[in-house]
Amino acid sequence: MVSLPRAVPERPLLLGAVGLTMAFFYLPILTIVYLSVASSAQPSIPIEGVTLQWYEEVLTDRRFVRALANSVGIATVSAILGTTLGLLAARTIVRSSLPRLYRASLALVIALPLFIPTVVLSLGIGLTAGYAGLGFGYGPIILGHLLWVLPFSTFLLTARYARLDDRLEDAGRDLGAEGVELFRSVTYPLLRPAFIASLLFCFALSLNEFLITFFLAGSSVTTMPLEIFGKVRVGATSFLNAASVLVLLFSGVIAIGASTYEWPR
Amino acid sequence: MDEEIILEADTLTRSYEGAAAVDELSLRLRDGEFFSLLGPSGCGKTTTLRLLAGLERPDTGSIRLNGADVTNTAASDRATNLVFQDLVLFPHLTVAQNIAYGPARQGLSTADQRSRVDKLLEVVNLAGYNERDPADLSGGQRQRVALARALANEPSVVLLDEPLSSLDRGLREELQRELKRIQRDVGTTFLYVTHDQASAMRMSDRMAVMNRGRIVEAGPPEMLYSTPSTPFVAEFLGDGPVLELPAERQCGTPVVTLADMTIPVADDEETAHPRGDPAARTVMIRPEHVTLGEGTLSGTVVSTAYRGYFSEVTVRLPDGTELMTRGPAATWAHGDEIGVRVDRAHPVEPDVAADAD
Amino acid sequence: MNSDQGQPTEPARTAATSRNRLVDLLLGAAPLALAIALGVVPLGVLLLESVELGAYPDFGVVLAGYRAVGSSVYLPVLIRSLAVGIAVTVGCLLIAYPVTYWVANHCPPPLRVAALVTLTLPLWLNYVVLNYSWVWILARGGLLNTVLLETGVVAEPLELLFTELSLAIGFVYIYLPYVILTMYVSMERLDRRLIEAAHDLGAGRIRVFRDVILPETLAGAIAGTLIVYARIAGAFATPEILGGAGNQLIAQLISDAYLQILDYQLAAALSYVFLSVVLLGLAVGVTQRDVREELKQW
Repeated sequence: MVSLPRAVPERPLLLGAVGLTMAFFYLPILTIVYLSVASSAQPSIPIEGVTLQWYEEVLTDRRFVRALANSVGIATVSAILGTTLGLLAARTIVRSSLPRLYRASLALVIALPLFIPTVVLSLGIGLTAGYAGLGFGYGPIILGHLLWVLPFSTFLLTARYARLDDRLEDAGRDLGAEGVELFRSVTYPLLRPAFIASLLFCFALSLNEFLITFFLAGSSVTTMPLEIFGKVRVGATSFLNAASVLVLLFSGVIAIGASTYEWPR
Repeated sequence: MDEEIILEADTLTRSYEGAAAVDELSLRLRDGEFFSLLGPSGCGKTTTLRLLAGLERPDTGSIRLNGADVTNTAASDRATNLVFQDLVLFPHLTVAQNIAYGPARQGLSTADQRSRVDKLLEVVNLAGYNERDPADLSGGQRQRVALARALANEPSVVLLDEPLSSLDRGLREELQRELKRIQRDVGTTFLYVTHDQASAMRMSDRMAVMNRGRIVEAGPPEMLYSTPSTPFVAEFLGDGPVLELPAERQCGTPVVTLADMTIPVADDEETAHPRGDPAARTVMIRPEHVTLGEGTLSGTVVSTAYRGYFSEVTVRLPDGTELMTRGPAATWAHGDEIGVRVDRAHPVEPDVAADAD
Repeated sequence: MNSDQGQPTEPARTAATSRNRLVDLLLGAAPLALAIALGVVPLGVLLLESVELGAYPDFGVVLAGYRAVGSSVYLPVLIRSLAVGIAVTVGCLLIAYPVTYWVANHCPPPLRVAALVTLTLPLWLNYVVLNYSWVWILARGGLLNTVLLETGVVAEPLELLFTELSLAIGFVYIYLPYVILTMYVSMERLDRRLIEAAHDLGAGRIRVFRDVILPETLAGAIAGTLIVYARIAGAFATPEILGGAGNQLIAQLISDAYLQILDYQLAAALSYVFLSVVLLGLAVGVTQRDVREELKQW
């Protein structure tokens, strides 16, 4: 009665599950792409005409473009600062001579955003910013984004740093390099793939960040996710569909590019 | 002391978490010699090397290089270079860039760097390998690149941490010959650390045996092998048991007694006791002085190990002592009763006239 | 030649070590400062905000915020949020198991990275947009209804949007990639030879799952759960876009309290109650040694 099941009969079911999951993931995206070229402003399925006018409208809409520019600017700052701080943190956690308790605590504090619900942190930062006199706006937003990306950049770099043979740095020192020179000639070249991946991931994370920004932006600053959210509240339109496709494309390209360097494990 | 002492370590101590890895270790290297530091795993050899290289600081003690105190000098400023156990070549650099790394840090011009790299590649027999990727090289080739890299800064002492341990035997012996040849040609002092006594004895001008963070004995290989002063060294370098046996003098010759067998002791002027004879002496019975198939004592073969061109045979004497000998392959089998004769025992005692360096 | 220097090296070595430590400390100071200023301090501020310290020692007023949370208005929302979190996480696990198993064991190795990237790509896309895309599928004039009407399965378009169903679908959509990612790490480490050994000894497929796969990957599943369920319970965009008015979750209440009603004390109290429950669950999960090992991988 008990026969040795071969791997092959298992596959159709498993493969089916995988296929369904992939369809599940990409069907909504494809639907939006499909609807974004509809000629009517409030399209129905199936669409009645094909046009690229909505893309043109999105790219010329001053408010949306300004929000997108804000997002890109904030994301760039978050990526650079976040990766730099993440590198410092990674080095401290992996390589420094400081006591273990200190290094573990640093890792824990940095990891807070990963398990403290974002809404709680956002509220906390909002209140703190209020008391510190910062109010709403760019400052708090950038700080909030830094908090958000720091664990990702730190742990990406830590993973890579830890895999580095620490005797490579010993060898460098033995041969005459110290400090910055040592970092430049030995450590950084070996960390570079993770460094670049971190820049790209932090950029994507910050670009798409919504909840923290929602709590910290106030009325004067808007970012791309906030704009989209605002429009969704109002109603579904082709304009929104085109904007969505552009946004997805932008993030998708960045993510795929980053994955060629290093994928977070 | 006719030759110049190039490196002198004095009572170095280094502890980790309460346990001393290096315990008041003192060492002197002569300029131009090939010196081996031999010891079992965990005895502190690698730590000693790291202390000498400057990658760690000693808790107490001092290090002098070329006459100057370098105890507090950083590794990057010290005239020593290290060949690591796993070589640790820079994976992101070519062979030439690896070798040129040290000279580049010292500010040599690109032209000078290149000529030095070429010269060193010649020395280690890898001419033309400049642009190769270290990952594409064989184990033996990577060894040579690591050595060339360590020689590139023209250090006063090259420190080698068991670099040949990962190679198979044939390759290892070939590289040992290479290593010795290069050292002779270049003339730099080599400090070679290993747990393999055959390598140490084959390559060294002088060597020291280390245990638990301390140097037990030091001297030329022949001296340590044939007249060890301590049981530890005798057992580490030799293949026979070290026994404490009743001693006396018969017709003026010092002898010891083992299981009713009388064995003369191979004393030389350094171990002879001109005044007074002790009642018991520590001796070592070497395999080359054990003969099977003759002799008055009868022993039982307890194990045979076939080694290709000879067999190692272990016999147990009536009093339980086990002796090892080497003989023609597969002559005796487990359980055979065989005659045993020992014609000499080597004393294992501190030299009456002591000279530890 | 005598070494005559004596022992000046002991203070020198400790001096060098302290110099190194100082450098390390300075280098690590910036990220530490940021993480504390933005993570720890706000939590403290939040705690202070949630109580009316000025009214001490009248505890009734001091803890007024918490009492309000315990009222019949807010408590159901909290419970609903946690229940949704757990339910959706379990659903994600049920899907993630076969999917990650396939990628780890049956996917041709050269395609493996591509498969993973495809399955986890949504993590890097804008989740507001992703939630929004389901509006077009579930609306009365949306894709699903159109297909169902055309094929004659139903006569009237189904009311799918702004229901528990749309909320659940939206959550699974957004958080499945997280669970796939964490489960994959665990699946990848599963030694396939254990499965082969079980088969060899006579176990059928279900037994193999129960005896080999489940125990080996359970720690990973739990670790993934801990990371994800709190995010789901505390989500804002998904319930706003896909949930109905009767399906509010805790984050929406907090947001309203903070941005609309401007009752900071209530917002803070709500946050802290929610946080406490989440941390409690985390603590319970982390006490399992296997789970801790798993989390250390991260």
